[in-house]
Amino acid sequence: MNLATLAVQPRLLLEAKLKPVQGSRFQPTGFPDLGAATFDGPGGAKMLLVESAQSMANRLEAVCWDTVNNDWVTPLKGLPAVLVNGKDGKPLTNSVLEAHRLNSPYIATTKDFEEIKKAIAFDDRKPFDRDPLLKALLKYDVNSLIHGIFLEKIAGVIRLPRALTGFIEASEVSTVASGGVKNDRVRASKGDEGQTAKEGFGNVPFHREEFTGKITAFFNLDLALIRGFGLGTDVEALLIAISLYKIQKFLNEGLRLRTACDLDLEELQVTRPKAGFELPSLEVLEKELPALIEKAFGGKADQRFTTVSFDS
Amino acid sequence: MTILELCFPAGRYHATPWGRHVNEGAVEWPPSPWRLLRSLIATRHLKARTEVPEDVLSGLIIALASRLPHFQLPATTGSHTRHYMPYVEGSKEKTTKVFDTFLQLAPEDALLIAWEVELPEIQLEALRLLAERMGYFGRAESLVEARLRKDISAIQANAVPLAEDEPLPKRAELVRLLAPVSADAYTVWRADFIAANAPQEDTDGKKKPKTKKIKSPSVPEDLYTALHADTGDLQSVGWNLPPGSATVNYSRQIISPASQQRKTVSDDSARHTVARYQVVSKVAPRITQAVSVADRVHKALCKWSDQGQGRATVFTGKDEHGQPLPDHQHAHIFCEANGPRDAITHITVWARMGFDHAARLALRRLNKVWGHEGHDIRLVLIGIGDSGTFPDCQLLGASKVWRSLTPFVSTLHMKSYGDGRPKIDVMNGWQIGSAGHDLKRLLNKEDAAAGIRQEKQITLPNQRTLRSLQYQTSRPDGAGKRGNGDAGAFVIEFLEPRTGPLALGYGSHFGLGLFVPADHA
Repeated sequence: MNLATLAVQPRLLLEAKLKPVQGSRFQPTGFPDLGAATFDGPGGAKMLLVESAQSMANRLEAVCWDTVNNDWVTPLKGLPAVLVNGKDGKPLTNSVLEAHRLNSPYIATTKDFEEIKKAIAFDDRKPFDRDPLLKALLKYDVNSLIHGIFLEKIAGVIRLPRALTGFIEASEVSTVASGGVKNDRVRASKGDEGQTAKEGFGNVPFHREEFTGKITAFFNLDLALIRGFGLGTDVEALLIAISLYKIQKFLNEGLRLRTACDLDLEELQVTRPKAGFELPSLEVLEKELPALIEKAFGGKADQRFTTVSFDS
Repeated sequence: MTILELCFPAGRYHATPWGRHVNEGAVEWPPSPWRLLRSLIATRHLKARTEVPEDVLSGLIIALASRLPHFQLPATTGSHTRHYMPYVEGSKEKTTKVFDTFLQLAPEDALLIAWEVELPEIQLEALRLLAERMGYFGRAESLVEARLRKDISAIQANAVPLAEDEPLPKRAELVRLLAPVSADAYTVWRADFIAANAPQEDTDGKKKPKTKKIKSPSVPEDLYTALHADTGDLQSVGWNLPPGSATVNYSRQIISPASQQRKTVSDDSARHTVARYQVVSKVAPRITQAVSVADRVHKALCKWSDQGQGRATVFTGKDEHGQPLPDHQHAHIFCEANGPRDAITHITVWARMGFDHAARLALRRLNKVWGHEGHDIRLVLIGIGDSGTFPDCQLLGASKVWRSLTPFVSTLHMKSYGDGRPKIDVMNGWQIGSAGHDLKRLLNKEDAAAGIRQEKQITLPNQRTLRSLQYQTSRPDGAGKRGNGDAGAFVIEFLEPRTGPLALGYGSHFGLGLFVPADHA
């Protein structure tokens, strides 16, 4: 894996052409009150938002976590994260899977969070110093350096923009309207009170809206931001490698977005820089990540977890 | 001239204007100068602390704040999504629904920003570096690629500052943006503000005790520091505008949405000439009000056809210089009463010059015009085509004999002698300027052999009869050559079958002077 080409680049942009695994229809994200988010693109092309940036962040995190063993997936073992145990001492959640990472109420409202808060060293009488925050995130939750954080539980100024952004769009979309009827073999019409469609009696017609179109996943890695953290070249290389791993892993294993939105990768291309960078494969990344983790954190460690207890 | 170029590789721009709630769905476009400078500052602190010294950045920011930038905006379309955002209340996580409004633009389309300032080389280099490292602009989803343009010396600005006493240009809209004041103006303002808000002393020299303990807003030392203020902090201590900022007026040219600038593959030589609507209102207007209804349809079509390039010529009847088009080739709006009574059942728009793309869009968008007593006249577009597309439309048929459906109104004044005797045209026996005389005059231009005769009443296709006097025979507003209102019902006989439509005289583009084939009537 050669990341030298990226040393002077401000950003890495990737585009992945996707297609439904079977057939041509797919189901996009549904938004409250809107359903599917269709809009007119430049030149009048009908566009559709298949997956938002927020949803993609969750998906890029989910592919890194082994929920069965409550640990990072093998190549990422040794990375720091915050684990949350419930009253009974059993795993409840963690900073990787929580939508707002360290700002999750299951973490930020616990007594154990004081240690992290202290490390962030926020003083409302002084201008906010970002360096302690960056060091604290590296120590407790490295994932937040990639996906950003907004620690409004401590103060509104404690923010870090996301370095990795992804979203999926479809262009030239057409609507596929269909539907069906849930048949009641015994009695087609609804009965008296207590025996209506609400309880599952009678035939229940339903409608379904799906789409066809050209699907593209976009990924943007802000290399200038990662370098701006000032955490050293080893950490920079690690953060870039984790980000590329997340993207490759998602494209390899995470493309079943919904029951009716199971996608397959057709082509992955680097659009920035325009030349000179070869995207490492998932296998290469899996092989090299353990050494990068060791190098960045200095010395071997089976686990670098911080455990907090959520008692409410 | 210092020019910055911003492209949005994700094709989207998200930014909420200062003082507006995210759920208002407003987008700050063009981006405010305040946002631009703060984003340069943030980029330096996040990504270029070692390469760009603070004094160089401060000089750059002060220089850019000294002039209001001009913008060259690309075409955009607006859209939005809605999300349930989690928020923490006590130990619980709740959700609130927020709108995410954005502008969609082509990734290759650039937003150009020009400041009328010449920067020293060190500041130019700093700006180049900061622009290159800008990752997003506005919200985090608003991915951006920015660069300094040294290769161009001017832009074609379509959003420019507007002085207080300057009128808003035509085809422009007012946008209020947050901008920094100049460094000197800030110094003066700060001194005045501190003096005005200093603790008052009693005459005995003692400070007045504070009656209410509130956190007083601190005033940043200079403009550069003011641009660092956190929005949340400013709002929490009651600033309605950030210190060092002012809202300034910009005039933004109305640009057609990108989606409506798409190229059409229609062949103008084969433009459609007819659009036909069915009236589906519970309370349909009578055919006697045809001119008024047509006038409302005309106004609606003019409005809907204005896609930022002006109203469609086919509806206005005027060229780009405001001169009337020759030969009545622009739109005629005809009302028909094909039902059992005298209610208008169909409206047909016909234009010999054909409908261009903007006109067809307007025809498709038209679905109602206002009616009386709250009963809007609802219209359903049957289709857009040509004379052969609507075989049920009698107006477009062919016949030797044509009969009035609406009164013919003379465009001339009737002439009389001093003693009151009418002046007669010896060539045809009609009083000069009368409806019959004017109809014959107009027909002579087309077919001198055509004969006319006046009838007492207008006979509708369902054989109901109406008198000309029952009809409205003038437009509520608008120009048009009209004499003293002599109107009448006529039958026209041609030697050879004549293909419709046939509409003559005053208001012929608004449904007056309309004839139908007599064999249908």
